[in-house]
Amino acid sequence: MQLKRSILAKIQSAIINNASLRPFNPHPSAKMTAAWKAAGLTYNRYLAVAARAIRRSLKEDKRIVAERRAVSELRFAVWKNGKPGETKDLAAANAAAMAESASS
Amino acid sequence: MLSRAARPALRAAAAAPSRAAAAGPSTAATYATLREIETRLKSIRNIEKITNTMKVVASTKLTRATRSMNDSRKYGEASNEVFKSAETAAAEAEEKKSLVIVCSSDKGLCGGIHSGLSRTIRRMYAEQPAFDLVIIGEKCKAQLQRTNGKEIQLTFAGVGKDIPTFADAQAIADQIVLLPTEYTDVKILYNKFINATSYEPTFIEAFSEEAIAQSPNISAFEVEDESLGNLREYSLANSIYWALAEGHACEQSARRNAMENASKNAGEMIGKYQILYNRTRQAVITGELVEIITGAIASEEM
Repeated sequence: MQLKRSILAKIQSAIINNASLRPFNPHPSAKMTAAWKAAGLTYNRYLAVAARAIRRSLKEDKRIVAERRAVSELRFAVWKNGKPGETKDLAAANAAAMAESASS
Repeated sequence: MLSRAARPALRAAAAAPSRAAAAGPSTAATYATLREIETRLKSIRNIEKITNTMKVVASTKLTRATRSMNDSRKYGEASNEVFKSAETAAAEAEEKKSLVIVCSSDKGLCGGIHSGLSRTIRRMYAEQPAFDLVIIGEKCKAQLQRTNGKEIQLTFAGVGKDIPTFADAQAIADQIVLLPTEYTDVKILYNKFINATSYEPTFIEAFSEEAIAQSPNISAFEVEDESLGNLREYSLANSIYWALAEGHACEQSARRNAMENASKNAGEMIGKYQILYNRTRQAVITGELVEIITGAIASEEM
């Protein structure tokens, strides 16, 4: 409980303090690329991470229901010239691709 | 699995009455057909049980799927509201590069909803310049890779087990955004749920970043240019979620109908075979009686 409260407080303070976390702010105080963008995340990924943090800070019973909405068992394959490539796990591949774009 | 198992039985069942009639006069053959009819009857009963269960399962899933479809429709419509007010239209570039995202699923046994999508895609190829494909779900992949294998860029599998989640849609949208080609317009093809028995392959337009930036009324929203990319990604995820959820609801409802029809057909066949079985059994008994009586009379006369 203590821990969860601290997480919630952290999220709140992060949202309040960090202007770059507000992507649709029409009057930004400082013009800079958002921290998550600099880290190579896409907006969707950023939302997914935020959603995950909130889901995990829920109470036990509600958390179990909510976490079921986060599971994704998708697999995907990239096709080249009419031939399917290797089938990969989507979540893992997304994370890897973003880590790569962060370093570049 | 079921379809493959069911089809030979159906074919055999269709062929059976003629064979039974032809084999009628000879007693030895009648015995064989009697047993044959019995095994066939049993297998049709089993199939009916399976289809009936699948129908019940699909019905229960359908209620949840419809609820999630109604919710997701609101998501999609709310997200498209921005573009409506901004009067966004697909960018008119000289070199058009289109992408079509096909939302089907992994599972079959639900009538023709997957082939409806594939047919729409093939018709589009006949009428329009080439475009690239992203296919969600194994069924449409299997159908389209034979004719349009070259245009496929990405395929996703693992959808359709349960109600699609927004996390799924986000992950798919991310992977599409990561594609090397810059597309001038993106369309999402899905089955629109009209009522419980009719669906229609429909497109949702997802706009490119340029199209959003060039839309005449965008200045009404005070947004920075750099957040337009985010908006585009997010609205793509929203639209995909909408399409997936609605497609899922259509699939469940189509499966329910297909299974209902299959159970009805199996019931009809069971009735027919039951009558045939009884008649053949009676014929066999009569034949035996005749044999016994003639035998008795013959021995009396001796």
